[in-house]
Amino acid sequence: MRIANCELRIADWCQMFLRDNYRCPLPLWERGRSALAPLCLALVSLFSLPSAHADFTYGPFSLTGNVQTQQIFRHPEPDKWSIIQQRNTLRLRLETDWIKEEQIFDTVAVPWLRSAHFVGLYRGVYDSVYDFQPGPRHEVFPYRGPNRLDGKFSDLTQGAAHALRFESIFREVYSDIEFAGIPLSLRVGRQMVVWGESDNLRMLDRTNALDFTWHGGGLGVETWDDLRIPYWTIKGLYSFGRVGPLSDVFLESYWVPGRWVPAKLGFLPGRAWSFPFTHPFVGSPTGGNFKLLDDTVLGRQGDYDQNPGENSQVGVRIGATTPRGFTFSLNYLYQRIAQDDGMNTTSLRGRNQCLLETVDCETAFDVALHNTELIGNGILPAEAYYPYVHTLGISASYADDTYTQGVVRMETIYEFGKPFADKRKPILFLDENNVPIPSGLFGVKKSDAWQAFVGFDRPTWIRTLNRRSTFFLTTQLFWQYIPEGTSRFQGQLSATDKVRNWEVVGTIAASTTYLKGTLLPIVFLVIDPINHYNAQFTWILDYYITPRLILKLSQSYFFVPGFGGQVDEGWGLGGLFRRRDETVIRLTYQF
Amino acid sequence: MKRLMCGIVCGLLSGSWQTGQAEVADTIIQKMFHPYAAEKPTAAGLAPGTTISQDSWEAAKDYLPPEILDKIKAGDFSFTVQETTDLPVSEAYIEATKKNAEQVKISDDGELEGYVAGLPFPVFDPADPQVGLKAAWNLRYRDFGDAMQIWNVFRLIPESGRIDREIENYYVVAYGMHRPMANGENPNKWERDGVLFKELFHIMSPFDLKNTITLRHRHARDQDNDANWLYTPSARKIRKTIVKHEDAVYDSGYLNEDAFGFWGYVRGYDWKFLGERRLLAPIGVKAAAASFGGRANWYPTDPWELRDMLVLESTPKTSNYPYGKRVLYIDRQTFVPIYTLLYDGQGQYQRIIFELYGNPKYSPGNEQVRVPVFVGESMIDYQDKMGVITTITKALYNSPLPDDFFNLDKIVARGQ
Repeated sequence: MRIANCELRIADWCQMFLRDNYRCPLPLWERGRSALAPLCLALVSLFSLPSAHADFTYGPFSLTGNVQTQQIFRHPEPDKWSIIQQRNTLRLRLETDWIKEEQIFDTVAVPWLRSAHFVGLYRGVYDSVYDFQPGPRHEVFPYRGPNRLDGKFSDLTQGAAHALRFESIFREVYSDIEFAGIPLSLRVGRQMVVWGESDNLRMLDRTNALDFTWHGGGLGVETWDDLRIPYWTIKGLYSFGRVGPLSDVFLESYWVPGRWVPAKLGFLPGRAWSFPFTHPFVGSPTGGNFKLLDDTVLGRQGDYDQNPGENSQVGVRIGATTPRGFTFSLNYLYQRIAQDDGMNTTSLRGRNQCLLETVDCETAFDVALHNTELIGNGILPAEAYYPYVHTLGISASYADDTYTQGVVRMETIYEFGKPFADKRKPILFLDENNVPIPSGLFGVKKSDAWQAFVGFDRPTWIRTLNRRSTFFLTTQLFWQYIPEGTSRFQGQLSATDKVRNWEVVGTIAASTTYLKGTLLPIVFLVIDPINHYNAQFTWILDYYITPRLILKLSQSYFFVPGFGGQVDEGWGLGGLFRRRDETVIRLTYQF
Repeated sequence: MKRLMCGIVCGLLSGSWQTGQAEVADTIIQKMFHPYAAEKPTAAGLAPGTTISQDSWEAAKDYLPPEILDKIKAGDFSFTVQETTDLPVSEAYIEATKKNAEQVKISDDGELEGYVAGLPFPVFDPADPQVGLKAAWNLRYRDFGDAMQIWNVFRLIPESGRIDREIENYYVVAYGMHRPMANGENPNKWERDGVLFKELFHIMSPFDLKNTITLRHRHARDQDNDANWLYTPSARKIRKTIVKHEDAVYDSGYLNEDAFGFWGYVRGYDWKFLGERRLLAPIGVKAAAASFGGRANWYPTDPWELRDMLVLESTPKTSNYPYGKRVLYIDRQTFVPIYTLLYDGQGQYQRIIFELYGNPKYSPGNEQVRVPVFVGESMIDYQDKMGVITTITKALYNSPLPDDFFNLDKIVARGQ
């Protein structure tokens, strides 16, 4: 199963213009908790606290947040539309400086600590579509043939719908601790670690895997904070300050001690706004879905325990700025592959139940027989596979104020040993005539991979369109290269999906400000020239009805210009989402 | 050996030259920095307590620019007159001016030569062809203190009075070059990098912008562009940006370089000195924060007082600029612009910016500070009928900041 890449989101560009709301995604293991109790408690607290300025303060604690309602309408054709999401979200941010000037709440002296700041970020969500169950059957990739329509919301069992309708969790809970006397600071707790220079491309920004269940086609509309899965992490930063001619020299490192999960997947009909796939393992002869080997679960758990010994993730980087203003960082990460960086790797490793030409498996028939027996027990001869990968990376940026009046950004990584489905390692099973045939599952072959991007940002006057404010123009060119011959690799979207040595994606975005800062438009285009120029075009308007009340309107169009056939592309653009044009209407009240 | 001898001799000569270098005359220093020590200015009909309003503006007609007087006559706002406040800047700054100003020159490329600290040009000779440019340099190097921290609320208010945008900020500017030594401590820690000051903007609210942080390095060399960074909380990255000085903040008509009356590059303008005038000005506010009232609550309503002011006109060198010209009314004692009038390309009066400074005695935590304490700002755009108002919650001057305060990694940590 290939995880389609959803990372080409332009929320960060939106952030450049200070407009999107702070939001955080829900980790898999927290799903299904009752939302009502903390939600009510939070609301009661919120409206009973004394108001001071724009937020609520209670002694040393401050509380800010927003309440939001979002509707997504899907319109595959101009005269066809249906609502696919009606989401109501409460976000709260609780924070306090619990150590100030070496004193804990002004009471206990801790002379070795300069300061400490606590942050708790809560998100509660109610998705009402699981109650009012709107819409027709969902269309599935590749949107052709008799099987193009699949489940609808009303197909969900009551239990399944109940499990999906609520979220309620403090997604991030951490404390920043600064030591006295040494330039060392720690961030301890559940958090996100974001490195790199790119917008929406997951090269060095890969510490936290993505939650694809939040909004699969929401490129630019949702923020990355909604998409990343926070982990319990210890992050340390040692600031060297000036070293020789370099300034702002720092060493940063993190350790996720075991509670790591890969990218989270959502399938139809439960997650209509995620990817256009139904669950790939339905139809087990024992009822329900097939299971995977060793109790592994796709998008959740590989063959390891979530403890420091088996599932630690680490990263380290050093950064500095040269006298001429060139900012750079050198990075190393040792992590399990999360399957969310857009490369056509596999997270499913086929494993024959015995090895050919061993005592129990003298022939291919024997191998297929063992696999078939396993399948008969409701288990596929495959495991969810998230191996460790070494990643070396460099990021840099430079502001050229003299010639181009723009900022050049770049980032590149080289990864060692990424897993690809290997067509030369088919997993066999027996057909009804007891003939060994390929099951569609494959073993894995590893290959190195190189990814890089170059970006350019520029504030630009277009006075015919806006006489007062510049347009912020930003463009990126991303490419990836697999040095191995890829003809033996099988792509994950379909049987025809090819793994290419080269893939390229380009992005361009523009935004500005109108009506005295109350109207903030963004438009962007993402295009994949390798796969029939499939593309996404999105416009977004944020309108501040009042400083606290914000209306967001956006439309996304996914298209493949001049080509009507199936396009196997993993970026989540016009190939994967071609009949998923959508309109988002969001109303936010912030406090 | 020859070289060594030369080194010694040259060093000695240099030393003797330095000890013998000319100082600015005391009378000039007195006139510049202590004009109100002996006598407060007075004018007929403008005794303290007088109200200047739509019904009683005649006494003020020679003491206000016509653009402001017209607004009073139209009933936009009114104020009372208070006695002139003596607001001398710091003794170290005055001393540095006295010691160094005689050596300061403007080089062929428009930069300062020989400038160390203090006011570069305490003498104004209207006949000097460079007098306007010299006044502009004075503006840049006025005594702002070593560091200023301001907690404030920025509001966009149309004529209806309804607030369109409201943003709460924490603002810090700290100087690291050309500051006089005070208390035996050298504040000039960024000389090696040529950074005059570092400036940080941290948005505290609303929630969608909370913890957005910008950082700017302003170089001592005016020809060098600022270095800018932006941290956005959802991107959780700090990145380089290019900030255009003529860009409007939130499409408000208030430009990036409009802060403090003028916060841009000297090189971008032709500067013309229009003379000296005794005028009424809203300075010496006896409160920690300025009050606003009048039409749409756009105007400063704390008492105004008579001040000796310099009038400086700047015309942008580039075409297509949002302003045709700006005229700065600069308080002579403190060299802060109190009001700035802005005209469009056709010479039509368009906007006014009031920069409001208070008496440090009334600013908690700053009682001992000897710089005018910033207490608020108002930009009124008459063409678009829009006000941009900054109100101060708290100000803190010359409070030491940690050495790593402006480090990029610290900004990321602070941004969360």
